[in-house]
Amino acid sequence: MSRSIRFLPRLRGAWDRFWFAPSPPLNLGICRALFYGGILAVLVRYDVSGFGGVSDAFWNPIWWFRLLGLPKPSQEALQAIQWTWKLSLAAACVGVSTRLATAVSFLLGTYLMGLLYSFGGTSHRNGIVVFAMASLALSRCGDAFSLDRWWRARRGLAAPEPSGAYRWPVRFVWVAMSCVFFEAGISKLRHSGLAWVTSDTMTLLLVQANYPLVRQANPPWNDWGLWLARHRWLARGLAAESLALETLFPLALFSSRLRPILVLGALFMQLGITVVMGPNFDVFILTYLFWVPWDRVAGWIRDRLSSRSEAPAPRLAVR
Amino acid sequence: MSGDLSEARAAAEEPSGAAPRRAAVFALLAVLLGGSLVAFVRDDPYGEELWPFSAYPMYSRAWNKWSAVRRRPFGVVRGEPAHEMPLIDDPYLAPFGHSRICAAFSWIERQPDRDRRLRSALRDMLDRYEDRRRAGLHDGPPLQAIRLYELRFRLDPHASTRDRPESRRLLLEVSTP
Repeated sequence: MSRSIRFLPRLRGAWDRFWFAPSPPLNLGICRALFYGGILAVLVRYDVSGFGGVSDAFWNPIWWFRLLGLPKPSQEALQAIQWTWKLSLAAACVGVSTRLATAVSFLLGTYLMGLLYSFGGTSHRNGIVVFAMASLALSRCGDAFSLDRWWRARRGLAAPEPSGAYRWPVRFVWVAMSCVFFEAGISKLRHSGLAWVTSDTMTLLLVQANYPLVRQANPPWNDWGLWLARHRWLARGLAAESLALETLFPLALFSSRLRPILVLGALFMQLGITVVMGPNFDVFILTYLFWVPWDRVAGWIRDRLSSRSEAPAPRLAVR
Repeated sequence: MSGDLSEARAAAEEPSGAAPRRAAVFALLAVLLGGSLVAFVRDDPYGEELWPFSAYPMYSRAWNKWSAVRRRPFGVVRGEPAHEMPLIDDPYLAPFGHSRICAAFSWIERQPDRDRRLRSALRDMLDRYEDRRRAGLHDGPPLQAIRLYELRFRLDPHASTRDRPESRRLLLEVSTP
């Protein structure tokens, strides 16, 4: 009993440290700029307004559309909504009226992505983006690396100090990603057990991707999947690696040694799926940006640049 | 350990302006974890998912069968009723892509009024294909009809049967008026 009571403050300290240990605002600011810029770059040409004109036969509203009684919108309404969303993404990227821009990005983005899934199944690449946008909308991500900050600096306002307010949004995305991978791994174990690895599942996934009329996703980049499929031990090894990465991914939250292995492993796993099987994870991939310590990267670049400028001018060697 | 505690204390003693909004953070975390838990408990690989929460059941079933059955739409080229082309390229299917139209048809097939819905969906596909072709948004040939086939494939690791289904059965056809 007394041991558990002594343990509680330590647990609380670790919990507080995980979420709220002071961090510089630059890291979150760079994450914000790259994340929203990335979404905009991926989706700028994507036009969802056409869904306003498709037959009602396809209309299958997802649960919260039904709960809120949201109807199938018109094409004109969708056009207006998607342009507002893209503008809000651009504003959030450069950090103009960041609070408003991130809030609008979250609300309209969630609506538009939910709408897409009301016309055919559920994809797994966008759910994580909703949570990342929610955390940024509730955060002070415009306090650095933004036009808002530049404007405040011009008015003589001091740069913000390191704070827990700049740490939790990044950590929240980490937790959301861990949920995604962990649940995917557990779902495989729950429905198939180790047979997911020892059966022909991975081999068949690789083969089916090369049948244009059988696959359910984009075409793979090449037919390397067939070569892998012909080496069953290799396909089973890939299945085992995928299952291990997914199930163990939450360890990346706590272990700084395992973090690069698990995070880079998951990134390469998803890129590999795109190359040999076809499904692309476009906006999902952007959430890996939150694992990079951008403040340290910026510091390293600054140091390199300043050491170069301080170095004596190279003398001409004359023979 | 003392360093850990002092960091935590420092976090708790931040000036109010920069103090993290703990209640909002924990509410957001509760939504994420609660929703994920519900999605996990009702995890059903073939049922409706609770987007944006999901147990990610996609591809969670173990497979051993070297065969596949799919329903796919084919366009019938105008004036050449024997010339059919599979409608699997995204520009022909816009605003749906191949992946989404597969999921949409798969959902329609599970509905009690599937025949009416399927006919209406294929008619809509044909109209949109022709509208987009006339607008120069794709370079496909003009179509006079769309046929929905059930295709049965025997798979092999060389994909040598990729263009040759073992059998195909016509399920439905809709034509331009």
